[in-house]
Amino acid sequence: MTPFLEVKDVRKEYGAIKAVDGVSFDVGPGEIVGVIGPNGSGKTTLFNSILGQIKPTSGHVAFCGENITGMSPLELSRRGVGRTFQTLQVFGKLSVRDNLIAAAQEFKGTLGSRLFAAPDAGLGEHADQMIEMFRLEHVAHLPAGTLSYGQQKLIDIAMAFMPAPRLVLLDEPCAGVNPSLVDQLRGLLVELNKAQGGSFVVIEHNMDFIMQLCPHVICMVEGKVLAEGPPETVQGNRQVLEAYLGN
Amino acid sequence: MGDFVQLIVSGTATGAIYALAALGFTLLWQAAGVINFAQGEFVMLPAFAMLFFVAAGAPLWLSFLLTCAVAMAVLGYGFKRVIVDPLIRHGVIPLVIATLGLSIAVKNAVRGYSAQAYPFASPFPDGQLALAGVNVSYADIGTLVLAGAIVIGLQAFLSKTVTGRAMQAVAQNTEAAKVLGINVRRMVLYVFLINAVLAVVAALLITPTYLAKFDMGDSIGQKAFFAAIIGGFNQTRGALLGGVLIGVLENVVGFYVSPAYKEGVALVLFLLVILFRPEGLLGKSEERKV
Amino acid sequence: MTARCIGLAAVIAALAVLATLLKRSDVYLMTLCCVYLMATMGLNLTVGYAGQMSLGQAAFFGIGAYHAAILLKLGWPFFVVLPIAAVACFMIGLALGFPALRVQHHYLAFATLGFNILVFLVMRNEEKITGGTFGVSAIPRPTVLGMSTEGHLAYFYFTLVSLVALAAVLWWLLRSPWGRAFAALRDNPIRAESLGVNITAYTLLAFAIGAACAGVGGVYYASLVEFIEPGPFHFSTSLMMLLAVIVGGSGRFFGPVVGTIIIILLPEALRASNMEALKFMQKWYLVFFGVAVVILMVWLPGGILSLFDRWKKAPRIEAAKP
Repeated sequence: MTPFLEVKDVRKEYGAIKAVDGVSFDVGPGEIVGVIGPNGSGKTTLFNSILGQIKPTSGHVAFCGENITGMSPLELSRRGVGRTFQTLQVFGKLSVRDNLIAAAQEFKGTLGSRLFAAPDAGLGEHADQMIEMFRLEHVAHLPAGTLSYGQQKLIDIAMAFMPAPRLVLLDEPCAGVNPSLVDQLRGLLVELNKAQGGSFVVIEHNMDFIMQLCPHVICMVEGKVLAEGPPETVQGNRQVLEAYLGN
Repeated sequence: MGDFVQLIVSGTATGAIYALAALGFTLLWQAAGVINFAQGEFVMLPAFAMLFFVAAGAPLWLSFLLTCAVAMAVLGYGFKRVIVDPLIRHGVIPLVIATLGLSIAVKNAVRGYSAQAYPFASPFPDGQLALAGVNVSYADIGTLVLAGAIVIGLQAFLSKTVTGRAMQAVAQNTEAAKVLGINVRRMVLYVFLINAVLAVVAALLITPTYLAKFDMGDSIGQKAFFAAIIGGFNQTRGALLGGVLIGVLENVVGFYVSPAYKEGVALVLFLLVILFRPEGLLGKSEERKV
Repeated sequence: MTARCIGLAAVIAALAVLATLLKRSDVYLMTLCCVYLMATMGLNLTVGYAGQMSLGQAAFFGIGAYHAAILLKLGWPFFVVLPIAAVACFMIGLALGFPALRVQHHYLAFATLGFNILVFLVMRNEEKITGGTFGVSAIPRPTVLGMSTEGHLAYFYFTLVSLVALAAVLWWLLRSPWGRAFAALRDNPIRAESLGVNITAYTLLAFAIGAACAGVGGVYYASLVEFIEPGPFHFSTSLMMLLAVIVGGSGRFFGPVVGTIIIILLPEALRASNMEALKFMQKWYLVFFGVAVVILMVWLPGGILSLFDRWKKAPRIEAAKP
């Protein structure tokens, strides 16, 4: 059976530096996979290589059987692949609601038809549902750039899920977020996973978050996969502990 | 043949002057993200300043040094503090508009004072030297030597001293430079000071030929801009190549084709470059970030 | 929304009435403002709403003007010449923007700058087509709905109505999903691309539509001044247009209105004034203008209309840094 996402022996080298040194893993449909590892282990570089922000030096990535190695973010978005970034990436001057509509409008109709569509591109209701789910009703019409970090983080993540992607890669969704919001985020991701059925790959440093959210965890160290399996197994792995506690 | 060599030599000398202005322009862009639309006026003002000091009785070399000091204070530090610092975080465009406003204000202020063209004494003696069968003017030799010394000195400073390397680090990657503990603000200030001095030197070398006039900045500002783009906006060596190329080709075209087309050379080169090699002749191809 | 519409209609009606009370030269200035507004509103779309850079708007303005000058003199109807000029500028805009997109952002700025200089030189040198420095004279004004627009008042009303129509089209465009895509392109092109926004297509469109608007403005300009020569289409005019957009408030719908009024009316008012006190200004008005631009940018980088943001009582929570 062809896996949903197949990452095979991906490498990214910057001269002598091997940022990603032969990483392979599979993700099934609807699965939530966590990626952990100390800083500098190559997790974000791996994401960027899969998602077209940078071209991998070698290796092979397939999505639903199609070779997507080196495809641009635009082409990937068309195939239902989305992502969030480590830093906040919202449309600062647009309202929250417009941010959400913008996140999904390009998948409705053609460039030409969109010119004559309704101002909300028929996504108003969907955006309102998302706003309700993420509890952003009271700021829905404010410019996203004027809101607090936590609120922008929520918008950022909501945007990734507006087009109901089949595969989402989330890069440190909990970074800089206070603990109560972390719980809310975890709940939201579980809910979205059930509602939309997409697969998630999540990079995170927050161990509790990962262990409670992801049935399958991969640990990366120095560009390689060190351990893989259910959270308890990976957590108990001696090499993983050593990698985190330092040399 | 002798003519041709002479054209090359004097073209290189003129080009070296363009290169000085272009170099400052490029450094400002790389290190501070500033596109200085008033760069031409930064050359025009020192020209008048030096005339002022000379009229007040100072010898040329002293006027030059005094003007350098004033330029560093006003066009370097003043420009940075008053205009660049408040605006830089709002993006490139407000800053561009501000330098545009500055250019208009300064140019018309000088014009209001006088629209005349004033003669400017050359720092070099008149006359020519016969070198290997070719007549080369002292002015050209002097320009080449002075500009060459400055350029070589600047390159050496940038690559061999700690401060210079820190400045290069800031130009290449400001965030990384901050992380490395480099005092970015101070490095950027140095770039502004260097630009001011380069402009004064350019003024010293070019005003004898162009004459000091309120609009002398137009031509040199435009050529500095073109030179920087032609050579490669992300490379300091590009400014040098661009400047010299323009200077030489202007002379060659002016002599062999027609003087009327001389002014069009820089523009044609510029258009050719952005059509066929947009990153500039020495520039590294910067693909649009995905 | 309706309150705004009524307010706008009132302003336009007031302008119409005001025009009947003013001197011919003042009405000419107002018409000139309207004509330049067509170009600056287009530029605002490109620069303010889509975040692209254009230093060549005057070139498109000129291309539209020369289309009108030549074709109108040949007897072609105004409302045939208008779409031709618009489409021509649109196409040229596409062609100009296309190579720009393989390279960095500031490339488009340089390409438009070079384009403007080149177009200006062509206008000046191709005497057979453009009349060179002698220009094209005796450009006719159209007859609209059976009424002649020869009179200064008639032509002002015609231009004003046309401006409102163009503005309405732009307003509709910006409210459509395209407008949102332009804003996404401006605010965060990287995120936009990973959300399916075709950066290339929208950049080209924003640029080409802006160019077409300038072309339309150029057509009205030709009939207004009835004699055109290359001078007004120099690169310095492009800079003034950009200045108008930024000073008024880039990315705000009425920003160009404020900016265009300032760059057109203010110098003219100072220059034409007879007051003794302002005579002094005539020599130095550009200095004050330049200084004013610098001060304005440092104080209000978002343009004059950004003052409204500061006065609004909306809750302003500073985006926290992590």
